[in-house]
Amino acid sequence: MVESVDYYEVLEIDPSASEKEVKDAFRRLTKLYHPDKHSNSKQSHNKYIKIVEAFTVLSNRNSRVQYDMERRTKTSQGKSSKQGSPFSSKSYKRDNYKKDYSSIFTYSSEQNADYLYDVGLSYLNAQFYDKSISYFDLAIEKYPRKSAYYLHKGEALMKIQMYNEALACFESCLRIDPGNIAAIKNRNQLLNLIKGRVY
Amino acid sequence: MEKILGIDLGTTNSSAAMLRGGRPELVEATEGKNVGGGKAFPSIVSFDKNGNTIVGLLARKQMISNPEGCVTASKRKMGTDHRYEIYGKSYTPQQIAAIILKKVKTDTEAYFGITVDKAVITVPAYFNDNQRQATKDAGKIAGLDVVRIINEPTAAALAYGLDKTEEDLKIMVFDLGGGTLDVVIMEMGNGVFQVKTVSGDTQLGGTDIDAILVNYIVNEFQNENGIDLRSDPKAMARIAEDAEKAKIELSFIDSTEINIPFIYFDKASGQPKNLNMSFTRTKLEELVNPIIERCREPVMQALRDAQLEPSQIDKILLVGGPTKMPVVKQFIKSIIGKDPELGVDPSDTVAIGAAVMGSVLTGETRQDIQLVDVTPLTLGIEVVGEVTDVLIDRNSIVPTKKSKIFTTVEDNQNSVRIHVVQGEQEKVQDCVSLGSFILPDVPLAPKGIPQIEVTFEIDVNGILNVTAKDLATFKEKSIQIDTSNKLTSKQIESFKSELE
Repeated sequence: MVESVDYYEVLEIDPSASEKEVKDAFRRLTKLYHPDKHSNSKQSHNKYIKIVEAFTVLSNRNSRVQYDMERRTKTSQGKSSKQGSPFSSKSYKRDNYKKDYSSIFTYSSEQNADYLYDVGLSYLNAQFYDKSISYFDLAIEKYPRKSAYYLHKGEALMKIQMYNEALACFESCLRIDPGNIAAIKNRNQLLNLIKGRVY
Repeated sequence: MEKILGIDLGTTNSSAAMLRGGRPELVEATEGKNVGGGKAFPSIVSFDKNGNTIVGLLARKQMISNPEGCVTASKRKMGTDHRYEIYGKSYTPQQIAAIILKKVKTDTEAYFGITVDKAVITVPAYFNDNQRQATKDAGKIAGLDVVRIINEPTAAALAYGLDKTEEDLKIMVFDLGGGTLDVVIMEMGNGVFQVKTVSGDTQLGGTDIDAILVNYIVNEFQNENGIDLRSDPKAMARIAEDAEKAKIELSFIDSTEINIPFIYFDKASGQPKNLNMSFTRTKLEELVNPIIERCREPVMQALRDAQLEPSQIDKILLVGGPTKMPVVKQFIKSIIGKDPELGVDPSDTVAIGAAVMGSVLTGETRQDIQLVDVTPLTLGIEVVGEVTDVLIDRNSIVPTKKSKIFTTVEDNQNSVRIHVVQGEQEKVQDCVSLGSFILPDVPLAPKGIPQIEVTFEIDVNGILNVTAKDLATFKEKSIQIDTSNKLTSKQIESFKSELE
């Protein structure tokens, strides 16, 4: 499906090229291969897209560092493939260097709060706390009376040290389900934590 | 040699240019010069009861005698479902724009003595996909093959940088036009004009400044005379015209007067009323301050996205009539710390830049230059939870192509809906919908197993093509977002023959 392209080869530069050399290479190749200069033919469009991709990755310090690392380890490591898991980070072109992970769903029938909660739980287990909180919030928005939603949102918030917000969640949980042991335990733990903190 | 016309289709004024003898030359409108003495003509269309049209300066005169028949600032409605209802007929914004473009075509052919079929038309850099496509359609209706849509600030930078030999300039183009604000940061060097970031506001411009002025005048008149002139369209048209004139004058002098005799006939006293008001530049600046302040965030956003400090900007180009106001010049200087470039007429540069672009496409220009533009808004699809998942970040260079794998969320889900959206917000409802389609016949499987590859491809015009492919069956479906909005080819053909 996708040939593995070496960005340095595409830009016709050495892997040790400076930022200026990367930029100059892009400009030189732009003047030669930009579709405008080739009556916007499909081939020039496809060729130039690769040049743009290479330049986008190599001209940004963070993405270049990451690319260089992968490039070095490419031969020693096989491609990791998690077939069937909803959280497979498979993306044939790893273009998005800002997020190191994405897990995405699309569907065409109605969602319900429990489903969103399930997704949030999966993220929580995978330690993607921000995403899990987003999904718990969505579940709560759909159906605000489930104690479990607040319980796990609180847990996620604790993991990212948002203690006051976590406390509020556990209290909400207990308002719905006063006997919830996990919520009581977490709440007490938090109260001690917060008391001991200096603000 | 084939020639391509460069057109600046503005909210308030439009103009055009083409290369002659290797240099870009502005087209003169057949009826003569515009308000500020420039070569542009007002983007005003007026209709009579029989559906006949007048465009430009003469249409402006109709604003007073025939306000119900006039359409102004139609650019603000491009890409929307808005309809203009005039004397029992309904018009799309594309049709209005086409009438203006038809005049451009006719004037150009008269001025240069050749027929013109191809054009480059400029749009605000911050125009979304729907708005760009509507502009292309307008060209088609007017009988023009729009070979390229380019961004106005980029065009201005092309016009400005044409003769420059300095290396690696970082330019900020601050384009405040009749209806839109664009802030673009570009890098120029080795003949390559590369856009780095784009920011702006498609509902902010000179027309908003005029509206504030008119509002102030009408309120003052009401305070003094107890009469609300808003009920009288003819009076409002006269005030609007004089307010605009006063605004322009106050860029050059400190105070001016608005005198409109017999603005209103007061039935109670049997006396006609006059409107006499004096205006200082200070008062004007005080009134428009909120508009100017709204320009701040786009400027800061562009810098942030480019990861540049204001001091790293080498040159500032001002584009658009409103940037002639001293308060605007001061505003931009206070942020960047430099004076804007002189010697660049903000009203002409966009059309000239478009002409240059046209000449690059035909190969006519002897200069070795190339434009590299970006897509201004983030693009993605809707995923579970009514949130967006990004495929292409804003300020990505175009042309570009990105793919991502998606999967199903239910067991035995046998179709997926691809809903394409554009915008920076996380919630789908806060973004602009560009279109959607269903990929059917996904083989039955537990949730999470199917592999649906979604690919976004953007061409040099910034127009998007979306494909969804089932990697198990290789069955695919795609939409080209340029058919997602509003006008079918049949409609375009029929509008086109109406105009001829």
